[in-house]
Parts: sequence; C-alpha cells; structure tokens
Amino acid sequence: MQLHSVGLFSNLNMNRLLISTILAFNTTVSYSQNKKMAESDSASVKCTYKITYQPDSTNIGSKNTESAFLLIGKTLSLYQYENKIKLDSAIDNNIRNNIQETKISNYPKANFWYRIYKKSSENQVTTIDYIGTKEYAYTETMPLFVWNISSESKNINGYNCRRATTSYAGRVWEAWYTTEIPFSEGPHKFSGLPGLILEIKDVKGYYEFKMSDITFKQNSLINFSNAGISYTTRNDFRKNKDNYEKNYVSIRIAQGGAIYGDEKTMRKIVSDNYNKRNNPIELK
Amino acid sequence: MNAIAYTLFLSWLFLSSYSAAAQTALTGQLLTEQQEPLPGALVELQSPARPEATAVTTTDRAGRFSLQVSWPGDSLVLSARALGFTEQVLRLANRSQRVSMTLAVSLTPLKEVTIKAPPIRREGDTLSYRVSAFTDKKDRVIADVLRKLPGVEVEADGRILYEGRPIQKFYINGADLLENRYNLASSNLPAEAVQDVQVLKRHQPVKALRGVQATEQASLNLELKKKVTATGQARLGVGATPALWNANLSPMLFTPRQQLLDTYQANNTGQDVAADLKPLGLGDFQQLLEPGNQKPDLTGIQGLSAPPLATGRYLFNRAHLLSANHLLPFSKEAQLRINASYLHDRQNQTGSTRTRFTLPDGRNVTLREEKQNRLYINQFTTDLAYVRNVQHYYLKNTLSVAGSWEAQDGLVQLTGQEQPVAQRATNPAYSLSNRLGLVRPAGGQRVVQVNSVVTLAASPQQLTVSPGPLPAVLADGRAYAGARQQARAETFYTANSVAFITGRRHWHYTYTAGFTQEIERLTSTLTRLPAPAAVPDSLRNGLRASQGRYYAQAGIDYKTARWHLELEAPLNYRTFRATDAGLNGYQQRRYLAAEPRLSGRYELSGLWHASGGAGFSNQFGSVQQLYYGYLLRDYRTLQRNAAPLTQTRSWNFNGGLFYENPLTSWFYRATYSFSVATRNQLARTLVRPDGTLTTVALAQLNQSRNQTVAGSVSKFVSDWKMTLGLQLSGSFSRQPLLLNDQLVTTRNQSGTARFRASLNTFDWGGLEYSAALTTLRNRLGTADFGATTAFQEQRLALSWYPAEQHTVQAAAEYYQSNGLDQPVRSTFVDATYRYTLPTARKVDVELKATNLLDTRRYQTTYTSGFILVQNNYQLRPRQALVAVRVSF
Repeated sequence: MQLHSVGLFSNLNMNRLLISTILAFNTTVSYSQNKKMAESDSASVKCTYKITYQPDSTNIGSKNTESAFLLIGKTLSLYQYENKIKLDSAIDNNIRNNIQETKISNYPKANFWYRIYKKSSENQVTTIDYIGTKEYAYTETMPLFVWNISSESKNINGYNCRRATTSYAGRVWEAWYTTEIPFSEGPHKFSGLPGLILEIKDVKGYYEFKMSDITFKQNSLINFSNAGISYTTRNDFRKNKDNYEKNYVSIRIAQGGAIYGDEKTMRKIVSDNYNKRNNPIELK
Repeated sequence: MNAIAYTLFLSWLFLSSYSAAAQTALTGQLLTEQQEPLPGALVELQSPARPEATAVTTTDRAGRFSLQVSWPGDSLVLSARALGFTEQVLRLANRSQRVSMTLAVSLTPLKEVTIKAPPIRREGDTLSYRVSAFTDKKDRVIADVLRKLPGVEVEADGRILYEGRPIQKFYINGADLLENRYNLASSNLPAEAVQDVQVLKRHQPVKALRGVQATEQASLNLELKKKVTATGQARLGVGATPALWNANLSPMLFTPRQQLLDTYQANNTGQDVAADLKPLGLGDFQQLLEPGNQKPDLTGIQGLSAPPLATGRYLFNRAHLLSANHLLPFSKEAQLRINASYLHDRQNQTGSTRTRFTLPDGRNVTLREEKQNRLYINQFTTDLAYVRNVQHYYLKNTLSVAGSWEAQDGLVQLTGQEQPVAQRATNPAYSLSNRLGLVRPAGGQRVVQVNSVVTLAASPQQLTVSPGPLPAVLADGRAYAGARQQARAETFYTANSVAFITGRRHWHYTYTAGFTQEIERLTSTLTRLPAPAAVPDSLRNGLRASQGRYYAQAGIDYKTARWHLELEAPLNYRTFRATDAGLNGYQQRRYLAAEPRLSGRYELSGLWHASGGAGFSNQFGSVQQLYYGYLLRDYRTLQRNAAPLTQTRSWNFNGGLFYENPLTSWFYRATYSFSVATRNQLARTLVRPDGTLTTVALAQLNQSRNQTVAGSVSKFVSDWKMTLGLQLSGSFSRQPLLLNDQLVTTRNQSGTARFRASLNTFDWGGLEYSAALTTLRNRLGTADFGATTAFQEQRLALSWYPAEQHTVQAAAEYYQSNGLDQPVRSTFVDATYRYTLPTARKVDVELKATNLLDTRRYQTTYTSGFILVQNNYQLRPRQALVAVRVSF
C-alpha cells in the first residue's frame, strides 16, 4: 500500500498517521495475558453528546465539534465517539472487500479514539485507548470525582437540572445533572451524581459536552470483551502514549517499520502535530 | 456485593467536625412488584440535618446495594429511582440497618429529547447553518432563510455573498444542477426540505485540482433532509385591478444520481421572472465577461432605467418563463446536464426623466422628457454540458446556444415641443459557443489543465426615430421627417490555454501559456427619411477589428495554516488592428506588458484574518468602443470614436480585516481599496442648449483615481433568534473630462449606510427592519458647482401568527429622494393574510394587498460627473391578489 506523497500529511494529525499504519500493517501484536472477560448488557438509554473542544490551547481556530454516544445498561455503560465508529467500519469494510483506498482524507476524521466502560455496581471505570495501533485498557476505581453540589438550578430541554462542580485531572469542571433521569452517569468518565449529566464543561471553555439527544429504548447491545487488549495502569498508559506520539518516527524506525517520505520531514510533521495537540481532556 | 457508596459534600463540610458522628452502614435490596431483583437502579441517601450532603450508589445484578455515611442527626432519607419505575422514598432512623424496597412500575414515560444541533457549527472549513433555527412560519422558500444567516448576504438580484464576496458554486446535495443560475433553486425550493445550509470555505470545485490548487472562494451547499427528495411548489393567483394573474409550477427531484428542476412561471403582477435566469456566480474557471456573451448596445430607444424598488411596484409586464434543468448520469463517473429556458415578456414603462448637465461655467442645461416605452422580449437559451468531475480526471464541455428577439417602441414628449419623438428599435442577438475544460493528473502532484472557448455571435440592430433627430448636425438645422440607424455587429472570439500545475508541500506553481483572439465586424448606416440620394460616408461604419493576446504566465501559490499568498505574473503580448476602408480609418498597435498581481491572506488567529492585494494592468479597451463613423445611440446621442483605442494602465491595491466566530455568531469585516488609472483617451463632450449630446474621443493622456472603504458587522443572538447587521461604505473618485471644450476634473463622493435586523424571538410573531441612507455628491472643477443628492429608505415588516394556521404580515416602506426641487417622499403599505390548510401537505391560501395607500409618485436622483438624472416612475396602483400555494 502506498501513499500519494508526503505533502498529504502536512495537514494531518497523529491519528491520520495511525490509520495509515493500520492499513499498512495488519499486524497482531503480542499482549500480556490476562483473564479472558466478556460481558454484555442491553442498553435502555442512548444519549448523544456534542463535544466542542479546542485541541490546541494556543489557537482558538482549532475549535471543533464531535459527537459521542453514551449507552446505559443495567450494569454496564459504554461511552464512545461517533467518528471512531465510522472510521472502524470504513476500515473494516475496506479490509474485508480488499479495497486499496490510499487517500487518508477519504476516511472519516476521528479525533477521539478511546472508549469507556463503566460498571457502576462494581465501581469500575475501564478506559480502552490506543498507543499506535494497539489497544490498551486501564481500570480506575470509583469514586473518581468529589462533587460539590450547589443549589443553583436551571431547566435544560425540559429537565430540571442542578449544578455541581468538581476538579479532575488538572481541570475544574462544571456539570448540570438531572435527578429525573435515574442514572449516575455522564459523558467521558464523569459519574457519581444522583442523576444523569446533561451538560458539563471545563471552566476555561476548552471542553464542553452537551447532550443533544436522548432516547429510551431497549435497542443497542453493549459488549465488553478484553480479547486482544493489554492491561496497564493509567499512569503507565499516559507516559507511554506521550512517549509514542512524541517519538513516533524513531519508534517506527526501531520497529523496522516504513516511514512515508523522508525522515526529516516526517519528524517535523510529527513534532508539529504533537505540539498542536497540547490540550487533552485530562491534563495530568 | 461490593458497592460502596461514594459521598458528596459541599467542600466546607469537610472542614467541619462531623467526623465525630458514628458511621451508619445501610445495605439492602430493590425488588420489582414481581419480587424480582432490580439491577441498575439509582439509590440515593440524604440527611435532613445536612441537606447539601448526598450519597449515591447503583444496584448490582441481584438488585443489592450498600451505602456508608457518617452523618449527624437521627434520621436519613433513602430514595430509589429506576427507569420505568416510580420513585420510592423512605425515612429511616440514622443507624446501620438492612432495607428492602419494592418499586412499582411507572406508566409515565420520560421525555425523549431530540435537541437540535447548535444553529451554526464549524467543522473544518465547513460552516453549517441549521435551517430550522433561522426559519419562521412565514418563510416558504430557501431564499427567505438565506438572507437571515449571519455572514451571508443576499443582494436584491439574488446573488449570494459570503464575507462580502460572491459565492462560487451553489450545490444541492453536493451536485451542481444550475451552475450560476441558482435563483431558480433559491426562489423555488421549499425551505422545509433543507436540513442545513453549508458554507464550504476555500472550496475547490474541480476534484482533480484539490490539494493542488488552493482557492479562497466559498461555495454554498444545501443539504436536504432526505437523500431522495421530490419537492417543489405550485402557485396560482388571480386579482384586480386591472385583471391580474400569477402562476408558478416548479417540480423538483433530487436523488443521489439524478437531479431535476423544471419551472413554468407566468404573471402580469410585476414579478420579474427573468431574474431567475440571471447568471450570478462565476464559471468553473472564473471567466471574465467574454465578448459575444453579452448583447452589444449599438442603438436603441431612450429607456427608463429600473428604479431600486421591488419590481412588483413598478413593472408592468406580461411574462411567461419555461425552464428545464436536468442532471443525468451518463456513465459511472460522468454526468450530462441540460439547462434550457424560454422567456416571453411584454413590458410597459411610463415615466419622466429630468436630466441636468452642469457646464464648466456654472450654467445648467436641463432636459425634461416624458417617456412611454413598450418592450417585447423573447429569449431562448440552452446549455448542454458533459461533466466528469472525479479525483483523477476533470472534463467539462458546454455547448450553449442563445437567441433573443427584442423589439422596443418608445414615445418621448419633450417639454416645450409640440410633437413627441417616436422611436422604434429591434435588436435581436444570436450566439453559439463551446467551452471546454480538462484537468488530468500527470503523476505525483502534477496536473495539466486545458481550457478552450469558441464563441460566434451576431446582432443586427435598427432604430427609427421621427421626427428627424439632431437636425443641427444631420440636416443643417432644418427639421426633417425621420432617421433610421442600422447597425450590425458580428463577433468571433476564442481563448485557449494550457496550464501545468505542480506543487510540493506549501508551494504550488502554475505555468500557463495561451492566446485569445477576437475578431469584430461592425457595419452601420444612418439614413435620413425619406432617404436622400446619397448617405455621407461619415454616417457609415464598415469596421473590421481584431484584438489578440498571447501570454505566458507564472503563478506561485504559497499556503500554510496561517499564510496564503498568490502571485500571478503574466507577460502579455497584446495586438490590435482596426480598419475602416470606407472612412480611410486604420490603426494598429502591439506591445509587450508585464501585468503582475499579488494577493494574500493571513490568519491572525483562528477567528481573525487579514487579506490584501496589489496589481498592475495595462490593457486595451473593448473594440466595441471604436467606430470611425457616427452612430445614433438614441434619439439625442450621436457618438463617434475615431481616436486610438483606449489603453488603460492601472494600479490597484486592496486590504481587509475579517473576524468570524461561529460559536458566538459574530462576524465583522473592514475593507479598503484604492486604484489609479491612466488612459490615453479623453472623452470630449459637447452639450447643446437643447440637451442633445455629441461625444467624441480625443487622444490625450489623463488620470483618474478611485477609493472605496467599507465595513460591516453582523451578529446572531441565538437566545432571541435575532440577526443584526450593519454595513457602511464610502467611495471617492476623480476623473478629468473635456466638457464644451474646457478641461475640468469631476469629483464624485458617495456614502451608504445600511442596517438590518430581524427578530424571531416569539412563536407568535416576528419583526424585520431595514434602513439605508445613500448620499452622492459631485463637484466640477475647482468651482463649487455640482450637486448633492440623498436617498433614504426604510422598511418595516411585521409577521403575526394569531393561531396555528394563520399568518398575517404587514409591511411599510418609506422612501425619500432629495434631488432637484423639493424632496419626494413615498410611502407604501402592503398586507398579506395567509391561511395554511390543516392537511399533511402544506397548502397556503393567501390574500395579498399591495400599495394600500395607492401611492403613485416615486423619484430617484443620481448624479455622476456633470450629469444629474432624476427619474419619476408611474407605479402600479393599489391591487389585491388571491393565491393558492402548495409545496410538495
């Protein structure tokens, strides 16, 4: 599989590089063995959140929007991004049909690849995210948030909501939740309030999650399986992911992988992209 | 069971000394009425002593939960909530215990929410406006909504601007059905069929050029709600007085592979159906006005220029328009497009014109004309295009055939003369043209582009005037019966170029070589009636002219995330040759000129950007300006241009600052432009005391200057559903001219302020207001001669929805024209009542009353250079129309 030219990469971010890597190397990577686990639950609620975010804190023009789904079942919930689902199905479809789609720009642009499973009855939050093309999982124990509930209230889309604030991973968050929807849930890892979070934003305005749709139907199945996933801890994951993104070119060379175009240009692109993504949801 | 409660505190709670309180552990189980465990339910514990504190957990698969708190007080409140069940609340003693609760099934469903997307979203270079956020109950077609979008402007003729610049393409579901005649869609497509209006910024319409050739132009896309949409509208109206009729049938079909838009429109209510056929955007390769595409105005009756009013106020017409537009699949990648239309119209114009010429010595010559004109218009145009627009290939060939048959009858009554001047003109025009564009990648980031245009056009025109015009020049001062001007222009035009485009990373280069050639033939005869024995040669033309340009051009484009710079450096070899054997006229010129242009854009931040440009040009005027013999343009204007062809060297500079924030819906811009032009030719005008004019071009170098400054602000207040916009502009220009053999400089200034607001806060009504003030001022020479005119307009429109299916609209317009004499004020009031039938399909019955005050007087005054023109129009009287409209 060949890519047209390096010029193509000039406006692409790290994730774009990863797609190309997935396409080029359908490799299986060894992972630390852990207990095989599979669990499924049927969702009774589907929430769609619109996320407005600014990946580069120095450039307000980098502001963008994406959609994410939160499926809530009895014992399991899943939070994942619409564009990642679209990207997965596009890649699957092309691999299955052996379509050699080489223009990366023809794939959906997905900026958030992670997904989060919450098992509230077991107080577990499991995040599955990528380093390169490889999936890693880490589990955190609830409660993750200490919420300060204020007496302020407002009506959001016909639901009476109350305000609560918390600080988490370097940001102060302001949430609006409703006790009328009986789930201690929210977008991303957010949870632990006596009702569903309809809106949450960081006070500096870099991230904002707003519920755009909610439907109550027994429709989707939430499947959790750890097959092919390596377990790690949050700290190790963050350290390694940062290291990988910063040193993508060197790591690929060390792995004996192909680099598109000349090494110096690639290094520059990778380092530019790294610097532009200076504002993740979780700062520390 | 390992569900441990997590507690929430107001932060100050941690600081207080409640740790002394004993720990209470609650465990329990939730069951349904069928005694089955209830998993996934939310259990919340609160304390009446500390209302801020709360502890929350979720039941496990067995419906069990446990909570631990250390709260003071002697009681606790435990509540259990689950989807589909009624909430249950228990008051407990504050001690460790086991609690079992049974929840009853609830029949009240929770509200489902489908919150619409925010009104304006930006994803990359696409700005999406959600149509429903900008639509109110009175809006029917998409054009009603477009004019309310912040950042988007719609001009009176339907042209759509984004950030003050015309859009390049108008797509429906991503397909280009109408090319640049998009009024057909914007004024007929029901707004309810459209989900989003998308502004595609920096959109390159040629797929094979994407990533190779950057563009700064924006295009518009209407994203329909459904992939397959069969829609359209039908309208039929009748009214009085006089007897009025208005019909419109516009079926449309949009599928992923095929699109169709047909329309038949007819009316005598003053609605200008020809506006739907007006080309508004630029072609694929941004062709400038090419010779042959426009009918030359060789001769004609003295017209009455259209006032800046809605056509429904002044246009007396009888129009029929038939237009068919189809986009069909030809092969997997190619499409065929057919756009054919036929227009038939008869128009009556009645009014008066007062023309004042200010002479260098301060004297004024004033001419008053009462005009009665009738126009007969027949137009036929067909475009047949083959388009293949894919990533690796672009080919588009368009064959256009157009014909128009137009006749004009005019009657002018001059003040102080007994006999009116009768004029009759015919000016048909025919043209045939073929346009080819081809783009092919040549490996890597290299692309070859070929363009070719060939046009053939002819226009035989004739004007008869009686009694004989300009007797002082044409009949030695004696009155005579009449005159006939015959003139025929034939044009052959071709333009061909090959471009090689290549690029790497931030740099793109375009190397172009090509030529254009225009051959023009003008024959004309001006005869006195009854015909004298011989026509003097000075009243004939037998011109053959050819004009060519051979060029090589380098274009450099530099684009990064912040910068976009474009440099075009053409080297033009221009040739020109004209002969008129009968008049011994001959001229020829050749020269080589470099005409560079530089433009740039810089992103100051994600919200601000600046743009600027500078350029030099050195070109010939159009050969159509040249005629060695006299031509009677209209009954009082006789022109001859035997001077060397105009050559204009001009410099122009422009700059602008733009702000665009879709999140707060603020849009600002400020622009400035300056140009200075040096011409080799000066107009020498002789104004006679009777108001007749002779203009001769004189070879004399002269310079003119032009400056324009403009700014605008617009804002959408989403809580109020309110759009606000303010536009300001001013221009200053100076130009020399030779008037009655005296060299003078004319200075023109103009200023315009425009404000618009639309408010749709409430469900029961809406308000729209717009106001504009224009002032024009000119001065002749150093003396303080000249004129100042001002024009003011205000418009207020109210919509009221008293009940679900009823709409009442009332509009008032006020105009004030300050020119010669007293200011003329005109006020118009219109009212519309619309009843929407309670059927699934939208059927409106509408009663529309226009010009309720029966205002008959309306005046416009313009001034430029030494001329001031004040027009008075006969307006349409008070009238009423009942119409039924269906969108389907």
